Amino acid sequence: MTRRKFIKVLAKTGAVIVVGVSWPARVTRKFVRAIRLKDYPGSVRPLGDVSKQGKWSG
Amino acid sequence: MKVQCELCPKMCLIEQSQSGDCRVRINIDGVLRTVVYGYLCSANIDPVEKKPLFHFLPGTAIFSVATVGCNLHCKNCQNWEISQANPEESEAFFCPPEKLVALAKQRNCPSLAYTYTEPLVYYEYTYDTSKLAREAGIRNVLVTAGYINEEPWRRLLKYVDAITLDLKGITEEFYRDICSATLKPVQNALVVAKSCGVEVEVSNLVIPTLNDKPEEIRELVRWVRANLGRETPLHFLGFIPRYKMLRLPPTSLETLETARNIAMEEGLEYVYIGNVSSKQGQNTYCPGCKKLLIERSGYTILQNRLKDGRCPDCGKEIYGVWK
Repeated sequence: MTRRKFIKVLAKTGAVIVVGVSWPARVTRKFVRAIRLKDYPGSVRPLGDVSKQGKWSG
Repeated sequence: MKVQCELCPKMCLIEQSQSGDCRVRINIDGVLRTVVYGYLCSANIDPVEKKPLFHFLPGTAIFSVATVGCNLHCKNCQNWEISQANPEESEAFFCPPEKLVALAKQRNCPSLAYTYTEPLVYYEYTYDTSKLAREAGIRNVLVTAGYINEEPWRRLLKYVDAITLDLKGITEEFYRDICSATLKPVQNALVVAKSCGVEVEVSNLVIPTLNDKPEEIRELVRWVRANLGRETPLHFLGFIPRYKMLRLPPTSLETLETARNIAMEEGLEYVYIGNVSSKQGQNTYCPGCKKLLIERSGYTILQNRLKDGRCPDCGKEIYGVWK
């Protein structure tokens, strides 16, 4: 093997390793259904009077 | 690691610790999480006519709930304080599906409405509750903008009895400029819902200068007739200046009556006017013999002459869920 061929093989192998290692980090995970987050990030209050008609449209 | 939410056509690519466009679906350590599951910002018992839903159990009470969040950002949103709120800045109470179904039963409500904001962004809660409610003999109603991908939509529709879908306009430009969305998926959601046997009613908020041109109204009506059928109830709703659209005037009764006349000329059988007082625009008439069937005043039923879902005079079957 000539020195030039050896460098080519080395570069190719290196590129394959770099792509292979970085692939899982680049993959995007896809979801339709989300998983429930237990703690609400806002403030939590007790249930109010539900018998009143809603003030919101709809 | 990024996650992609495939629930709605926005297909948000979400970075670690960030939320999607709806503000309520977030990426935590490479997993998509729903922040608002069971955390309701509003729960009220409304008349079903308020949704608006005129062909579904008229005169009954409907247990209506919402969490914060919406995947559209309409500049005219009537409920922007909750639809455009961030969960971390909002107040909510915890009501898991089983508790909500029990509450609806306890209050003798024959149906549940997922409404006020956008029930599709709290999809998992809507789905789980609808399934439980169906098992308990309670009907499910969605008041929605219908901006969802077809696969999750079909899955949810198995448990849905009726929808009021807000078809906001009939041009891509309107959806893009006013709502930050696109029209095609909404039209598809309507067609799919109808084909799944769900009772479908369409609402259209008529906004002065933006979507009130007679030719645009006619195009919308023709689309409804051709794709959903002439029996599909259509509600023209009056705009009230809100959120980022405070400079436009409220819609006049005349504009709404023109829209209703166009829809009736085009052959739609049930056309209503909402948010503005209109005597004829709130009643249901038989498309066969033209006699009055259901007389309404606001959200109150003054008389309901239907007999087993049919006109008592000519016997024509009237589209809807009546018992």
